[in-house]
Amino acid sequence: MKRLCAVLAALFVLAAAQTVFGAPEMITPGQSGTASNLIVVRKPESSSSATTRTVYGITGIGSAGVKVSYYRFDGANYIAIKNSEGNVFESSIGAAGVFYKQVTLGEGHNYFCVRAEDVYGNSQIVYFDINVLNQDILENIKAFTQDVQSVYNGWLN
Amino acid sequence: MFKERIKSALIVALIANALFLVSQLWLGNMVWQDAESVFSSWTNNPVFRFFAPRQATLSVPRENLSRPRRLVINDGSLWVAYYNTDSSFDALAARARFFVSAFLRGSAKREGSLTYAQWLDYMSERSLYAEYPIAMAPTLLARTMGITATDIDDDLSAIKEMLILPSDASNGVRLLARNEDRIIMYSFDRTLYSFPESYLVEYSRTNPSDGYYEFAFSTLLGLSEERQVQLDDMVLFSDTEQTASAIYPMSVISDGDYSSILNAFYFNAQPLRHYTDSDMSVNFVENYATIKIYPDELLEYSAISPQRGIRLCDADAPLYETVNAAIDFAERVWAACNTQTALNVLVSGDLLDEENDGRRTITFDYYFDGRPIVVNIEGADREAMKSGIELEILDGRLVSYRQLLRNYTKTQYSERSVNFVTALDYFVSEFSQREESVVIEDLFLGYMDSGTQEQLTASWVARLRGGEIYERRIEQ
Repeated sequence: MKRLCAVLAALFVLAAAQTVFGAPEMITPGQSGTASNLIVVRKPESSSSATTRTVYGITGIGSAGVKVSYYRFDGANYIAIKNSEGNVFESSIGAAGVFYKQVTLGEGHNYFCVRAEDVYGNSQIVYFDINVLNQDILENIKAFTQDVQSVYNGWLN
Repeated sequence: MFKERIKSALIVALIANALFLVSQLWLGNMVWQDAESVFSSWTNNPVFRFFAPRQATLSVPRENLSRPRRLVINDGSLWVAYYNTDSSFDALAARARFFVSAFLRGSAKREGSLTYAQWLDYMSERSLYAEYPIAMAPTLLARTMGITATDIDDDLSAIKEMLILPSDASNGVRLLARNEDRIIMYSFDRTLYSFPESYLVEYSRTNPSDGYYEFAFSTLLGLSEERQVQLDDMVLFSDTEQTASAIYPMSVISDGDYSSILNAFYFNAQPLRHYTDSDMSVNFVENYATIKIYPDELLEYSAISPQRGIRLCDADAPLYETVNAAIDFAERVWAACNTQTALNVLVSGDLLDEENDGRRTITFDYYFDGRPIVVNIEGADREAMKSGIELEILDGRLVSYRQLLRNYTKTQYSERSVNFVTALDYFVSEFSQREESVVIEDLFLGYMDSGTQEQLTASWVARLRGGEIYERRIEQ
């Protein structure tokens, strides 16, 4: 019984430490925070966007002192992006009120979430999907649009 | 008899040729292992040097006038930046130069003016962006590229940025030239000029840095915000932390020997009148000018009147000749310092072809490893100095010359700097105390020399709209 209490106490301490000292390593899909006004993700501009870029700068605004961490979906959960030391990458929003992080993208859907936490422990999670389009498909769409435009202009003239 | 004369002439020619070739071998350094000819005492003789052909030497400030400060490829992903010191810069610069010189020659057709919003839209497409260190009159830029005349002046009074858009299925190569809010688009004949998009994609794989870059406008951090401290849309940044060496600002005057420097200013009178001030600065007085050298080796030359200044060029010389004369004179002073290194400076103030009553101020900044060294000397008893070299020319005569005499060398220490956003936070925090709004026009990692440090460490430098410069060393 004593051993069980000790293990439970240790688990409690570890869980408490995680909430106090840093961002979690993993976020389960659908998990939400306790606040909705800590940050605004400015890029991508919507929860679902498309690009041809394979390197992308996630950026947004927030209040000074709010800590921001970034997570990538691995098919089951959102896993924290780490820094070069292997710890969860976490940056504090400063006086400029902006945050920025470059991420690499693969072709197709790339699901991410950004987690923000203020000094009082309130947290916010913003989910988004960046769809990397194949450059050839985009070129075809562009060419098609130009063709339609030229036909339309021909009618007008 | 005739045959004999031909033979004699042939023998004389052969002997002369042999002597010439042998002298080339012996007097040159190629056959001497220590790179110092045994005849160096002859070749260093002033008489010999007078007759010997002058060897072309690299002039960094002249060379860099026609080169962009940086080239940025938008490869359809993010931006890849190439700086003047990167090994992969030259090939890309040559490609940009091909189109820029064709444009200055008048080979491109004017398509019309663009709005700033359209400029930003084109910046987001696959393109090659060239930014020059200063805004230059098109005639000056053309002359630096060996083009004698250009009619671009009618459209743009100055050029600082250009954007070259590659040819695609529906368009030929297009070039956008910009100076502040004036942007003009030109197009090249697609049958004569080609610049495939694939070139940019391929070339961007030679990315010389660790990461990719972004312009402030692309990350919505820019001027669109109504903030007290704003960031210019065209500020280029990367989120990687950069490592830079600390540098020593070395003295160039050896053991108080000022003679060669004084000679550079034509101070030849013997004995020269001179005296030392209470602050230990040394003053030299000549009939028509004075030279003052402060203990921190800030040199100041002043002519007693505009008519008595050193003649650099004709009073009505075009801008190109004036700038060249200024570079020649700065290199003359540098050569007198005998540092055995090239003068690594870049023109720092805009060079515009405008009415100026014959008066022109030309400034240069020192560079080390591609990073600018901002000079910031202030003092109650002397005029503030904000550039490495400052020349004031009136009607072709040098009336004032100021230079912080420095030769910078690398130390073994290097430091990892904080990233761009952290530096931005720091400056925003500092500037937000001001009453008036502030626009940060550039934010970069460089050095600042206030004339008193023994060692300069790389620090973040903010250049504000209006010209103010701030430097802060931000600890990680």
